[in-house]
Amino acid sequence: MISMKVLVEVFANLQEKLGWASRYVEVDAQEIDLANLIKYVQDLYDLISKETGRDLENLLDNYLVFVNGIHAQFKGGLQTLLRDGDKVSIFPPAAGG
Amino acid sequence: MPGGYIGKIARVNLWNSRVSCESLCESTLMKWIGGRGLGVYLALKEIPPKADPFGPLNKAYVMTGPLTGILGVPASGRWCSVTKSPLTNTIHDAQSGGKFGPYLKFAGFDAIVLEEVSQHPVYLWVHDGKVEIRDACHLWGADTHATTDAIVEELSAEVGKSEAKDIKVACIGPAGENLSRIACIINDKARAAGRGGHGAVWGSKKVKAIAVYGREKPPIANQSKFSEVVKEAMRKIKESPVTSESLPKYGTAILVNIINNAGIFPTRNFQTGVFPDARLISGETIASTTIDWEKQREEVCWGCPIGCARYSRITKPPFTGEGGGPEYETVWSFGAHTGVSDLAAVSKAHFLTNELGLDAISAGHVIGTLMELVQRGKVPEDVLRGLKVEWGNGEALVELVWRMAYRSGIGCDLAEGAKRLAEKYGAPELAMVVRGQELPAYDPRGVQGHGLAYATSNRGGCHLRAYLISPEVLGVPKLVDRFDIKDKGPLVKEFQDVFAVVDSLVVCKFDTFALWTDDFTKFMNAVTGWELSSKDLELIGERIYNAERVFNILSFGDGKEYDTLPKRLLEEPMPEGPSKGRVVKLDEMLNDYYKARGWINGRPTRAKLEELGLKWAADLLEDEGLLPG
Ligand code: SF4
Repeated sequence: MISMKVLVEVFANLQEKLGWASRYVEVDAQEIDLANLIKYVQDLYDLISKETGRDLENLLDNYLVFVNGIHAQFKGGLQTLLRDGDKVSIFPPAAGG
Repeated sequence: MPGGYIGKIARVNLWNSRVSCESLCESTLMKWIGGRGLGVYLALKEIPPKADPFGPLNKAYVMTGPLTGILGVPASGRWCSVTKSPLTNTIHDAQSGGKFGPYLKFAGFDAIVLEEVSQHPVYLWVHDGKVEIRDACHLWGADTHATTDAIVEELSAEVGKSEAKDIKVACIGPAGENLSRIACIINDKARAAGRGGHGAVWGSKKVKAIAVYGREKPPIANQSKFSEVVKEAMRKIKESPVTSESLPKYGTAILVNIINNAGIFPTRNFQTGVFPDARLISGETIASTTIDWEKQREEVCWGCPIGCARYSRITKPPFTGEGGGPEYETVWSFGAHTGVSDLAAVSKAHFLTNELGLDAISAGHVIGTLMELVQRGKVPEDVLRGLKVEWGNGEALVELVWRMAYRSGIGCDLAEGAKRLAEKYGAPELAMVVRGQELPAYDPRGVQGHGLAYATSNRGGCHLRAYLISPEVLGVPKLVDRFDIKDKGPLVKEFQDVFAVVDSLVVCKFDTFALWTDDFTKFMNAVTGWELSSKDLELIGERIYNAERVFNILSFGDGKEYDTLPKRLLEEPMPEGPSKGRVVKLDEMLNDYYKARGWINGRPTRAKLEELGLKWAADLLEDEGLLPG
């Protein structure tokens, strides 16, 4: 039985490399942490684990990751618990002005 | 003369058509560098602070810095304009890219000072160490593209057809001639000394354009050290994914989705921070739909390894057109701020502001102000002459840009900027301005430090005095909590001082995504031959910031009363999104900021000014009874 659904969005060159901009990830659990959720998205995990490590340990240094619009660093880092209806947004490093 | 500089500035008295040349004094340069810093110093010495910005006593400084036009210094193809602003009454500098800056130096000058007013339209022909004043009656009324083309055509007869491509032109359009307080100076057709109405100051002086051309090269004092520094800087720029990949590929508008996702993308005149259609005007969409990659390469500023510039083409009616841009700030001002999600309309409005000579941030912003005034029933219908001024209407957006430039109907009020517009229609609280200048594309309710940076900006509402978005959102150089107010005072001060140096060198601020004070110090020393420390450079930045504040105090009594934000941002909680419920907690941050600055109630003390070598500025304040404490 599927009990939670999280929206994963990617931006800029991640969109180009993966060929998609957003997708829903369905997990049979009440909650899941950020690192484990990303492992559910195989092509995304394959792509970013190359630079950020098998356990995505350097994810937050290499990418800008928001959970519901808030930096993951200020939510609980890779262990941030996600629940049904949450949104994860991943941006490559960017700036402008 | 130290390396980097040409060593000469030209003063142009427009009233009696006299040109005189002066050499630069090394001890002054060591205190103020060039660009913004030197311009501010000269302005504080020479412009009576209460002078009418449109009168003969105001001056317009066309500045370069010691790193301008030095091949190898990343993104050194810039120049800056300094004047007393008709929008804010503050001292004001506006920075621009393109190719004009380096060519001013190649023409034999570090700076040009426009003094007095001319009796008829003129343009300056600056070449090979000479400045000629030429008639521009035939150019008055022309847009910036037509003006540039006509001048290059005219002068190509003198330099030869093959050399004509190296004539670079900065000019004003109809908006500047019509003294719009948000008129800009456009160089290389699409690069703007944008904010604060500098184009209108040129217009008041009847200076239509400055054309530059020459082959002089600024010297480098220590070539071997310089080569090393260049190598190291280029390595950092290549290693940074921001400067090597994101900016070149997606331009500054890569920020649209990030800022919108954080719930701080000001929408419908800062009524909320979430724009549901942001994706349609994002850098990703521009890069895959409207950009012309071939022309994009030509748009990149001189000597820039980053290349964030855009060139777009809209082929489908009714908004057909092409030109440089749009950038993050303009897709916001003409997009989310006015509720328009049609990239074609947004791009068209942007092209027009370049052609007509309007600041694209303020132009879009003031249209958003009008839309809210209309939403709240403050504007009588007949004033709009049948135009449907409502959120999201791209047709109205484009039409209003035309009207603004020519001061036609309601356009006459728009040309005055958001503050004067909102006051005229009885709702001053709807003007999202600081010191009279329209705020740019970040809602500070979700970025506290950035709010403090807006409030304390000497030139009014601006994101580039201190770009706290870097640490608060983008994590550059290090992520800090955007909702926290702790330590934001000293952080804002540090950014303001470093950016004052960057603006004085004169290089692009996008360098700062890969380089910081130590790198700039190394460049500065290798090029000039001086031996300054990073601390010295920071002190120069602080000196500049204090001198600007002194000018403002003498101009209109600047101080704590002006270090504030529109009521909406201080009192109305963000209604939705990730920043929901937040307001800017300004007071506490402001106290920390003043402590870090050594100011009392927004004014520098005598002790602070003397510490910075500005005893003479303290005396000016004291003479007027404006010294605090
Ligand atoms: S980064 Fe962009 S704005 Fe800065 S110098 Fe390069 S092209 Fe110009």
